[in-house]
Amino acid sequence: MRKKNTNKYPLRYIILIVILFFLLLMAIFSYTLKTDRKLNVVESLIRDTITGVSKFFYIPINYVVNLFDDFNELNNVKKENDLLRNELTKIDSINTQNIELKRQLKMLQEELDIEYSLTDYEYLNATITSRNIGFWYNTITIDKGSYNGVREDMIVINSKGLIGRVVSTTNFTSSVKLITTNDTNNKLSVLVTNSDYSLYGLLYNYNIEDGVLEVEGISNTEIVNINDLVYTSGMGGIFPSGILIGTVSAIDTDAYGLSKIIKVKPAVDFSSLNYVTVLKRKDESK
Amino acid sequence: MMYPILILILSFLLDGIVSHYVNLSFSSISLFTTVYSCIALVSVQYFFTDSKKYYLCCFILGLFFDIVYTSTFILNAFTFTLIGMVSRRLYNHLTYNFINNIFISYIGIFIYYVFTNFILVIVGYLNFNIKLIFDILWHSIIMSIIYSLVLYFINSMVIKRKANVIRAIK
Repeated sequence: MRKKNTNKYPLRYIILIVILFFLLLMAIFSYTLKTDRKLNVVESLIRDTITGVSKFFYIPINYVVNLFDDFNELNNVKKENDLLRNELTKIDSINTQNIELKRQLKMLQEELDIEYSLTDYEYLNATITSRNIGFWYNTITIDKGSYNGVREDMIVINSKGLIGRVVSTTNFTSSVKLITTNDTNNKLSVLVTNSDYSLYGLLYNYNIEDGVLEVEGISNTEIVNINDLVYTSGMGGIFPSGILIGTVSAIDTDAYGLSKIIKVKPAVDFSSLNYVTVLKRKDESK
Repeated sequence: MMYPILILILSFLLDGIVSHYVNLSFSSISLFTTVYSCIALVSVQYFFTDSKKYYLCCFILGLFFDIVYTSTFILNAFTFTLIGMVSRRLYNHLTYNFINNIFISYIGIFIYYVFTNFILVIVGYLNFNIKLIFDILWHSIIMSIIYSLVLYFINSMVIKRKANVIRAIK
């Protein structure tokens, strides 16, 4: 005797609904991941609140970490002191040179009608509050947000070189996408240079196994040497020119063996980032 | 009910704290790479008698994870709920002891990394790299075991204390 089908809905409708639901989710994920969407008010509030609360937990941990750091630094104090004293004697002449260079730069900018350069930025220091959680996203969160004048697409650097760009902000925090991301949408125009040449290329990938950035599109890799410097080229309108990215560590072929790529060792040590600087363009910060 | 919520909140904050301070790494992936929130979700599900409440907790925790840490939209909410469902099904068939807790916690971590990678590759955000997935899973073993053991022993103490209180009342 046949059993009655007691299911209210036939199985094929359930499968269809599941497939449609999955497709809808894929569309949502695709849209939200590929576009740097703005966070809404609720999301901003949640992120600011939780980041603020987690800062209380950082206080005792920072205290202990600083104790160890201070102890290590005490050993090097005298040596650093002597070095700094020597550097200080040069500061007056450096300041004079700086004033003259600024004057010349301004004249050249007016002559060549250049919109901005690296000196047209204000520097806003920030502390990293969390980094790269979930592993795939290669982002860090800093403790400065729109309240401090941070906007999307602002560049983040440290004393060593380029770190990334701001992709989203709340009132008191910002997310920074690192240049070591494997996000296929994140490409960066670079300039490979030494005293003899300057070649344009495209930074397209980060090789996590080797810890190097990969640059493609170099027209003539034969003249590129190991330890040549790689800077941002300024093309694209987001990254200003002249920010150090790293040094050439190897010239290789790509994964398919079709074209030459350049491997670049990042100037910044991404495994030990604590403090960063946001470049605020002076006309945007007003 | 307060206890599992507290564990989830502390694990959530621990994700941020550990990522910020601990950079001990081997071949460029940190040995402390793991998702403490996922392990906490698996460990505390014993305290949720109502499955719907548990799944709701998973979803909300995932949502907070999306907003605070990864700037994605419901990806982690969906993933955490999936982990909750799988761990619930597994615990229906396995006893609650430290080995099963470690095993199911690691299954949760496995699901997290593989599922999120799958979604990110499908939508074109990442390129497919199976070696990287294996590396991350390999590097996340140590901390996953340690944290699931810690949570298991804390949970056991709480359960024993509750059992003693109930016995005393009776």
